[in-house]
Amino acid sequence: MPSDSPALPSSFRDPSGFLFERDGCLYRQVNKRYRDDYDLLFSSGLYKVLTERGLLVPHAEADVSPPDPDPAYKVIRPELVPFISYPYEWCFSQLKEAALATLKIQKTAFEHGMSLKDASAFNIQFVNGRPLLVDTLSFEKLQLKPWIAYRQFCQHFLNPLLLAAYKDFHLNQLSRIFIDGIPMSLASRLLPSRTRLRPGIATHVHLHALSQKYFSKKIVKARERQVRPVSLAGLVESLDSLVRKLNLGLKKTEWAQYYQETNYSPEGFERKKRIVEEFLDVAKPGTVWDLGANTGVFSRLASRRGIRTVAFDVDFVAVEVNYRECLKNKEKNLLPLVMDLTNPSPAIGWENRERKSLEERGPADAALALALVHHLAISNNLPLPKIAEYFSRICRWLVVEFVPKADSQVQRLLATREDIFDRYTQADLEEEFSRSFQVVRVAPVEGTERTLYLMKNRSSL
Amino acid sequence: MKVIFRLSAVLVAVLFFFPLRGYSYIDLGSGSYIIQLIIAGFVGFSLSLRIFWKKIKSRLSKKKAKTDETPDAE
Repeated sequence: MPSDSPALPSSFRDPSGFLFERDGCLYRQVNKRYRDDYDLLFSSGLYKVLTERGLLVPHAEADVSPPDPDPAYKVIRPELVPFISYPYEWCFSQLKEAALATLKIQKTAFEHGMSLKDASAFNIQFVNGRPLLVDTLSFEKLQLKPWIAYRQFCQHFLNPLLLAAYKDFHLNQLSRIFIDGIPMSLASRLLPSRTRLRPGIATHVHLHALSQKYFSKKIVKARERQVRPVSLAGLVESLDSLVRKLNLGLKKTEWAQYYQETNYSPEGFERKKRIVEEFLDVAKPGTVWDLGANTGVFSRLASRRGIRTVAFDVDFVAVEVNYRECLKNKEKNLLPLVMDLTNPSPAIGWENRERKSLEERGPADAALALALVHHLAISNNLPLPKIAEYFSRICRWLVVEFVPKADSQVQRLLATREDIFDRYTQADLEEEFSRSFQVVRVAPVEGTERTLYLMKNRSSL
Repeated sequence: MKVIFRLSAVLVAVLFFFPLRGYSYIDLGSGSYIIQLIIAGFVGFSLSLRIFWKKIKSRLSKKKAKTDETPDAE
């Protein structure tokens, strides 16, 4: 049973304060125990520098009554993040950018006499295409002690990056199981033996794991040991140089090549783009989710119209290609994310409420489901009524493409299996989707056998 | 290097003006604590050497520049 705390389910670990919602607005209560550090954040000039550099979420002090008045010092109103994403939904470069941003914030904090007291990847969000620290209460006064967030940084950032770079990029999904990051012992066991010869990895991961094992049942009375400033800076520099050198060798996958391998002409492709643009102009959405976005060609039709767009794809490499394109073009309205729609991100963490499911982060004003339904229906045996029902829970408008069995892409899916899909016809799609949606426009894509539909959700989400 | 000099100056100031206390809500863990002390000690030592070497180099180059300048001055 959920607790009675006024705090949002994701905000309970740090006694410095908590997030809460009131009248549809998001606020953060700052507690008295955090007063000195909160004041130092401003008097040291750190808040100004970090917000100007786009590394920390800006906020305004709010004149609203705190929900828990006794420990309250202040209430602040942070700028809203358009879409909350989680580390297990990021591609390699997004995680790397988030890690480097965290280290940059730590270096800047050092220069202002402060330090990060946590280094959780969940504290980083992508806003306007760049990583941003969204927890204003993450700083404390700098002391000559070991960095308290060192282990958390290694588990949340370093381990998944190393596993992706040296083993397999799919291992990023481990972050979904281990909510406080991938354990040192597991990362050490999974990484190839050759990484033991690399000084950075040997120390920060392998020796770190050994040290944890050795001291796991021992009481260490060295808590008051001081660390020299040069050593603290050196530690962060060492992590920074290790992370900066990591790279993901891109492989040519079936999906990343998808647009080059379409079975219709460039003219047909352009026509499809024009129809989608026309549909967007009718629906005028404020937010778009492109489901099965591949490298984001159609997502950009929305994002370039100034629409906040999230481009989901199951293929890690397609999302990587998409994000690199975003970085190259400094795109602000497009957020590529890894998402398997047949198993979308669930709600996880304490009480299964700490991190939201995909559906809880919706609905989107509009969803694009282009060249997607045949994959769900035929590759994943999902009946059309189930697909329509799920779509009706996550979007107000829907642009959906029907690809008939005669299409060579569907033929490819059917090549190695028995065709048990009697209920996969255009008439079936229209009938099943019409239960939840009202068909507003129908547009056959000339030069192909495909049809695009613009549909409006019958229920008001 | 600039960061380290600045950090040293800031730390001295912070430690002088503010009393030490801690409210950490996450646990670093003994193993992570010890390995961090070792790594930090090692990288700190190598950074100190680099700073020291840089200073020597800059002094030598200043001396060299002075001796190079002398004939021109005449």
